[in-house]
Amino acid sequence: MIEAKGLTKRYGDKVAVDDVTFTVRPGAVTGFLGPNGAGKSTTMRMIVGLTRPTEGSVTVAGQRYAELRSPLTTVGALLDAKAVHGGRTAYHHLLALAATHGIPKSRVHEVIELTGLDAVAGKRVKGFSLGMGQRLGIAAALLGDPQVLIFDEPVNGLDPEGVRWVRTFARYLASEGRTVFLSSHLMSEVALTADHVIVIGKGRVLADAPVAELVAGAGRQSVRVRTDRASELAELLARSGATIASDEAGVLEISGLEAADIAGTAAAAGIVLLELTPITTSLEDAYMALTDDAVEYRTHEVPAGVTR
Amino acid sequence: MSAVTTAMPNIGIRPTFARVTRSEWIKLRSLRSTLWTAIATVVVMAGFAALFAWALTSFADGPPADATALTIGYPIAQLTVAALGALVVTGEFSTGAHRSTLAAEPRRLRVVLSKGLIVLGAGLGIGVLAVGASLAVALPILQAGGVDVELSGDAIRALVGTVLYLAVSALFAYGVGLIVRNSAAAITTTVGLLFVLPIIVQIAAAMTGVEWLWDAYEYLPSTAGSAITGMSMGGAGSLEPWTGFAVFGGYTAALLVAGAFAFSRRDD
Repeated sequence: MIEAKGLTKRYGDKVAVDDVTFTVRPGAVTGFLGPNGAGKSTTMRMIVGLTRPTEGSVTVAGQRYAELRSPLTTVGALLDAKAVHGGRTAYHHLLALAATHGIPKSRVHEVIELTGLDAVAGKRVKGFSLGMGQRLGIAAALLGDPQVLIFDEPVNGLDPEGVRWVRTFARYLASEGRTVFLSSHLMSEVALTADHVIVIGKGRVLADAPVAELVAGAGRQSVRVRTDRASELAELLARSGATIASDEAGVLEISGLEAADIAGTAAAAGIVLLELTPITTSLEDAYMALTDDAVEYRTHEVPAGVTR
Repeated sequence: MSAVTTAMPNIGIRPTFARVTRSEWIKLRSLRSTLWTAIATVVVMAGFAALFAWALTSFADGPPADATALTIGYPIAQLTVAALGALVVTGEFSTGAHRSTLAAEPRRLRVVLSKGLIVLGAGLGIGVLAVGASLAVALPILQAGGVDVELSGDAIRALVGTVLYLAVSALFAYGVGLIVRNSAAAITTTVGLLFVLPIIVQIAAAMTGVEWLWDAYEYLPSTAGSAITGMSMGGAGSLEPWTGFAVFGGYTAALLVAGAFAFSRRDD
């Protein structure tokens, strides 16, 4: 269980995390989703006490991280694949971490095997690929067999096989009743792995809901209609219970009615339709819509027709 | 999927000062840079001792050699051992490894103390090896050349003092490392303070003839500290061996306190 209350971090004038409150529950994978620079990593660093909150507090298992009697057996964190001295071997990195808690050497070998690092454990970390670094970070997180696991962008740089491994592994850990908190900037990744999702943008929590709910909300269909007599058609359709939005003169976004019904209504009233397009909002679109105002680094729109 | 959980006894699995110190020792010995700085320190000390001993034997019927002949390389050796002291902390900041360290032991003061203890231990160990190697190399050369070596109480003090001086140099650099966090900056700063500063002050004092510059020179970290490595008592108004060493220790303690404060207060 991770509980953040009014968590805020300011760097000078810049607010990285702004009054964030959430609870991450055990027995489920909770995704922490947001564009780059949204405040995910800062929040995660505050959880493990690496960064001091400007205001508010965050506790793990009811205690501030610095007050935990045994940090590694309570929380395992993969914060940065590069939290290792490159000149040290993977084995010695894990051995040194284990030594801080008196964790036996046998456990070091266990996590090496568990994360598939056997072949490279004796090699210096400097030469590791990003994927190997991620595996080592996960091995380190598992050392103390903790109930709470925090993974910051765990699939970054992994090959498809590695991505699937992390996904299955996170789900497995949660099925054992552990708390798994996993950040990503990819909606699709979170949708596949998480049960619950907390969306963050510009340091604020934008949504905190079960993934299923977000997916259901996103899957809604709508129909785009272009016509010269838009207002007239809108009035007719509204009577049939449709929800109508219009961003542009002569173009209606209609939800709650099938394209065939709209066409029928238009034909009966003698209204000529210039366009009738069913639109399915994807999860990605819902996420984009949610974080649209919160994206810090925006790219220019790709010309229509290239995407989707 | 193999079991994530192990049959690990969960009682007593937690950080203690002894365990964190052991972890720091594992970290130190598993880096190649440790071995290289240790070898460099020993080779520099032994090499200078051998050269100087050989030089002494070329003066037939010269005065008996004193212990300073054996430790002549310490101004250079202090720099390599200092590099090791600085790297213990800056090596972690430059690679991000400090995050792993602090996740395992969030009590930062304990981390600072553990690392300090390891630096002191490594400094003493390398110092003993370096002085030992110097003796082992230089004594036979001196004896073969017919030069007598006086190993008086004062000479023993100078030899032990050299070991202590090297160890405190490592701690001094560790303190600088805690404050500046960057390897290059920490090593440059340490070399500047221990090696370059005395030279600059000496030149300035000689050129201007200002009296207080000479006094200040005596109290610079390395000049004060090296009083314990020498035999020349009271020569050129230098501090008493233990007084000088205490001054050096004082500078080092101040750096360590400031470093511990910086390390505890900073984010990340």
